[in-house]
Amino acid sequence: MSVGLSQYIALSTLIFIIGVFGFVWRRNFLIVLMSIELMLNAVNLAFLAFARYWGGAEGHVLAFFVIAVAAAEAAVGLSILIMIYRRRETVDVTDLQELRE
Amino acid sequence: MNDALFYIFAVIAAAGAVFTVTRKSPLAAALSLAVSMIGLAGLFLLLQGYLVFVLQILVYAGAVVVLIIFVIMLLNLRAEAVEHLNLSWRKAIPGVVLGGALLVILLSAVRGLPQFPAEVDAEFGTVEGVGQLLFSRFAFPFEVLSLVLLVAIVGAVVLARKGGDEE
Repeated sequence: MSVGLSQYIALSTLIFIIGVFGFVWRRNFLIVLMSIELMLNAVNLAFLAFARYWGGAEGHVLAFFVIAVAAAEAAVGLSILIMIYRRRETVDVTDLQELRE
Repeated sequence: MNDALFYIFAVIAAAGAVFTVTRKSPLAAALSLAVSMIGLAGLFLLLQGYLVFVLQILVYAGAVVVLIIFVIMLLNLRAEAVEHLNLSWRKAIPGVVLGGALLVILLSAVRGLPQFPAEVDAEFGTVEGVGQLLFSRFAFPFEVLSLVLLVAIVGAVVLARKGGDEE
């Protein structure tokens, strides 16, 4: 089966679903952050696939922005993680549920 | 040849993703994430995204994942200390069903379309080609992005320094 847009979108959706699964299921905050990066990467793949499909490079520009913003968000998320770890000695998200009570 | 490469890179990316979310040790998960990102970079190359390919490896696999590994090292996180991975198959069923539904919906939306009909010139996806767009139509978001990065840098430094808790 020759590879076309459908295969790229299928792969992008699959990786996105894996990222959502990791985000929802895992309790280690670091792995949650990694799942967020997975989701963003899957979306980048979809952007590039559609850019190739339409022949316009706007998808590349948006992927560029996604990469940059994701790097900034990872940095801030990790510093939040460090702060939380300093106070609580835990990175388990189930121990950080004070808004719930 | 391109088709074979697509499947090779697709398997690397998907397997890396699966390993990322299923490893107990955060270090193993970070390394799997790097592998997955490199697989995705190969796919970007197949889609003629030359600039994004380089950025993916430099920035994502080479900086974000390294930053995550630094944090793992700094906090000295061990594998067993954190969580017990248990997932009964019954609990996973609604997620699998919804994920499958999403896949079916998106695939049915693109299935009818022809493969990759557009003819692209030699500059598509290269630094020159994307740069042309970036500095003309997307100049304002580009400048705002530099501001976003500045805010992130300052914020990360402010958040992570010691003595910030005492206020």
